[in-house]
Amino acid sequence: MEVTKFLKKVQVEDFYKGQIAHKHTIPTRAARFGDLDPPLPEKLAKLLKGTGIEKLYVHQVEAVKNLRSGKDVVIVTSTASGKTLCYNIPVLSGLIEDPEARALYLFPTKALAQDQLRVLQRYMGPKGIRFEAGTYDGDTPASSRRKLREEAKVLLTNPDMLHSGILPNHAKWANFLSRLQYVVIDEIHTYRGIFGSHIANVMRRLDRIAAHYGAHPVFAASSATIANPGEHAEKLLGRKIKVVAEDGSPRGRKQFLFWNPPTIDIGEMERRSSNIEAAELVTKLVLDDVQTIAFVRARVVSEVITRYTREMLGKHRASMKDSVHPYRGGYLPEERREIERRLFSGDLKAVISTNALELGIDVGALHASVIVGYPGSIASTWQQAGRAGRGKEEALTIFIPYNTPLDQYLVSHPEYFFGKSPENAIIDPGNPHILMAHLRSGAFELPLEVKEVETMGEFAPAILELLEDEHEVKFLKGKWYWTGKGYPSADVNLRNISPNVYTIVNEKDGAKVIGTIDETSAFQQVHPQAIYLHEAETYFVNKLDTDKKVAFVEPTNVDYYTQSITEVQVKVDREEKAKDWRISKVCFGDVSVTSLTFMFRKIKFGSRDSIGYGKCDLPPQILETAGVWVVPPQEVFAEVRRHGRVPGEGLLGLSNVLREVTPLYVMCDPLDIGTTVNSRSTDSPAVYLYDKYPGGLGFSLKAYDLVEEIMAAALELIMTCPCSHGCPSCVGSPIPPFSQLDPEAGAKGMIPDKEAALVILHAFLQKEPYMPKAVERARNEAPAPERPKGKALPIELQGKLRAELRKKRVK
Amino acid sequence: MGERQIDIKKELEELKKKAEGVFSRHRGAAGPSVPGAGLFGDLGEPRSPRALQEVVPGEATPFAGGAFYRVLAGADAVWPDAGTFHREYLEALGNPFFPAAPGFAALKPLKAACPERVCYLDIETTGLRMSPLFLVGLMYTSAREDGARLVVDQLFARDYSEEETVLRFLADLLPRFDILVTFNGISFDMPYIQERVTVHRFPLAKPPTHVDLLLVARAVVGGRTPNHRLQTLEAHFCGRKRVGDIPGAEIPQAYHDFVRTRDAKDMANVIHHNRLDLVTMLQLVTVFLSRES
Repeated sequence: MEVTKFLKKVQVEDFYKGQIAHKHTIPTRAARFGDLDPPLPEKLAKLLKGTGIEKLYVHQVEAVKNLRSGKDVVIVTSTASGKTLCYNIPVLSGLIEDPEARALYLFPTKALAQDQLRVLQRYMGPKGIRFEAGTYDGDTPASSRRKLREEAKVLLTNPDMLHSGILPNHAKWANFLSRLQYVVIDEIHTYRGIFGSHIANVMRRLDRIAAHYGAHPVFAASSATIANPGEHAEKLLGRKIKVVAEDGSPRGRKQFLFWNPPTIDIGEMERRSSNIEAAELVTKLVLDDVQTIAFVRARVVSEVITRYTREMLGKHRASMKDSVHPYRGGYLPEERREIERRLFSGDLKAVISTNALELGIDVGALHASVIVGYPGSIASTWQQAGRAGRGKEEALTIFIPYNTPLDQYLVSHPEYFFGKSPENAIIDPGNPHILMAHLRSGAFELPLEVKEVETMGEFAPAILELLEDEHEVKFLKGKWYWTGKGYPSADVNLRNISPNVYTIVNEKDGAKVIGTIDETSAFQQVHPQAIYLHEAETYFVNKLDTDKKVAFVEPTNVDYYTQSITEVQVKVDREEKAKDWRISKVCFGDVSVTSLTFMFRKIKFGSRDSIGYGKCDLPPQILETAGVWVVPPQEVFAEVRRHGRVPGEGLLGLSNVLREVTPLYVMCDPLDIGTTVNSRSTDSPAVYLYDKYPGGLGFSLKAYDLVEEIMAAALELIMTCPCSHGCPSCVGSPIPPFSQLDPEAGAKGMIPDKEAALVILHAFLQKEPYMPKAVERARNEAPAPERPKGKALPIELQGKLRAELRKKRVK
Repeated sequence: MGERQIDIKKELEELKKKAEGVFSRHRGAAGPSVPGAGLFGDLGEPRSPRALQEVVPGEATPFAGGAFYRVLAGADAVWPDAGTFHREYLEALGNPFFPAAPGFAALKPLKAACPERVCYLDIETTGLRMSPLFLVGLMYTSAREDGARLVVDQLFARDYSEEETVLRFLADLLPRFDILVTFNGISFDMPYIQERVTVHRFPLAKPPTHVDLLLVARAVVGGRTPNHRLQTLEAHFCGRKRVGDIPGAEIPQAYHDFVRTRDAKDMANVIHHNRLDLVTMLQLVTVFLSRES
């Protein structure tokens, strides 16, 4: 696209009020090609030529070379750099050399597997390579499963299916497994925290079963940009891995704009709606024939922005309304396929998507991406930005912040974003809770041998001893045999989400299912009287049946949508242990985290105002887990107050920092733990940290033991943070508590008090008392009063008064 | 220490005697009058763990680098009237009569078969899929100079590690037979064996013909029995009701307990349960192929 021309045009329109707050240019990069030695089989080279690929980029050459010589590889290059080819080439050339070879492709989602099957199908057919490939997931009908097992040379599936479907039935897969030449594991940056720790164990199980059938496959992994791709891949796959990161793909110039909606009041506190601003920009891009993807954080926002965009486009030409579509989780698979297809063909000019399209679904060349609101991580932002621009063509990415303290911080500190390395991916395959699940599954699949167990982490022998006590395994002649009941892999859900999925049924259209929603979100989004948005149309929720797990809706024509309000409370159920830590008390035990959606607000489209409220009568959702809490002594609060600051604000800031710091000590992802401040179970406010997993996974317990180290790290983090009043890297949390809400329709909140947090931490760690900065009038407070209008001074009187002043000065 | 060991030996000796007494009381067990608890069952609460050899006499059998426990016996040693029902069975196979109903068609190969090449098979496992099996029960006619004799041949894994040898021995034995007779073996026993053999990575040659009596029973018995479970058919056609038999669902746990404690008290029940299943299959074939049916 012609970015410069577009921007010039936009900037002379009435609409432009100086929104461009920052412009960052990513320069052009020329393509660098390499040669394969030995060259590709002629047939494959010809096929590639047919798809327009004559030469390979240097990273593709390096990956292919290593994989073909049997070395495991992780490919970490930019979006649209041809990562898929890095593993498809060795797999396809392997199939030409040995038509009986097998490859297993693992993707984090079913949609990605289906998308990649379509890519592979380009190489099949009478003129191509003769091989069978298919997706194998929970939706695969039983009738096709057998055929896939027997015939598929390339099987595309997900780790969940490998864990619960393939590995426990390995005898049925013996033929496939014994010929396994390559294992492809795509998008490994998504395998972080609890989920990633599970996957690491599943990969070890795959490895031993494949070895049992005599196969030693080569692993090809790919990852989006993260801080530690090599380390992460090695931990995940349990082997040394060659990192291929030298990106040889060409890149056109990319303009990365920070586009701040203009202020609309004199006090410059209120800004124009970011959702409307986004719709406005998407409209302009579409009218300029620029295919655009907008990324939003919440499903409801994708619907709202689509609605606004359609209205704006409809004013130009009624038929254009249909050229923009929402894309998000919860749509039926066929609906999603249709949107992807229309996007690919160019029929759809814009898509307003949640991060569902952040992963590598191939939707063709998009020219512009609009990021509405900070996605919560640097890595994610770059992923979304990378969706715009293919090849040498010029591309545009526009970040539109919300008028929230964190988003506004980013706009005023672009160096924070552009200078910061993306996040680390952390996993802990040896976590005893997770390891136990896989020792059970593994022993069921094949007796565990001593030399295997020795590589499974320090706790493995003790866990097996415990399992033997419980009569689940038996150690016999050097091996542990499964002696328990049932199928242990069925007891484990790799993903930390409730398996309950609600269907959304349109009662007025023959009870047709129009979408699905997970249980937690169902309570917040399809409670009775809610307005559910689907394809930008409004549906009224008549009933939420929590037994049948169905939301009954009907189309309705209203000019508002709803946003629920959920209160989260943490409560101590049982204190298991407690200790004095310096001046504070630290406790560990069972806690329950209760979320109650108790009311909702009606928001008029196009405004951010509530036009009404309603009550929700829903049962609370309770997470029973393990937690650690720190109860500060009263004198700490007194000290914070002496400085004119609010202790609760400091504790809140501290709790945000703990969520950033603790994962490094307890080996999890920041999303695997929750932190909060609450005084319900203690005499005074306490800081809580809990495992976001039923029953707990040991994170809080570790944090209890490491409280000194963690608090010291929290202090260091805040002290060394260069920001003045707190930022997303320290006391501000980059992830909002209810990420499924429209950020415009709720309370804006503020970044908690950095100085108060420092006072508290210095006291906790018994350092020299911290002297905070003097309390400033926060800029966010009410605007200064305007000057009052009185009676004008008569001109003569003005002269007299000025003369009087002059006289005084001379004196 | 030494004295204590002698004591145990003595105790075992006594137990064995006691058990043999029970055996002799229960001989003559197969016919309609059979007490279902079986030959070894119902020995009362044991005072100490039972050794396998003691409750189920058999032989540790080395094979292909491993070993397993083989319980090989003439049927007449188990059931005094075995000679009679075996004769009836041979007569049913040999006579020219064949029932007209189409449901019997699957039994046709048995008519032409040489009885020594027909093998009845039933397995006991530790689960419904992908768990080790521990007992392969076989029943076949063995030809000897003094006439044909019915043999019960049970291959028992004394722990999970012996499964492979049991299966290897089975793979060695099966080619002797032309026809395999099972009850639900098409969907359960044979796929199960195939799966376990695959896990142990060796080939298995199956007899060319497989007669699954469950399919025959479904076709020919129809609504005459409330269901087509083997024990229902056993009660209906053989007039035998099992008393004190170990329920199939309890067998996996009983075996796990045996492996853990080495106390064989329940294994006699399991072995006998397996024998009753085998003999019932043979008697069903007799009934189906006899003129009077």
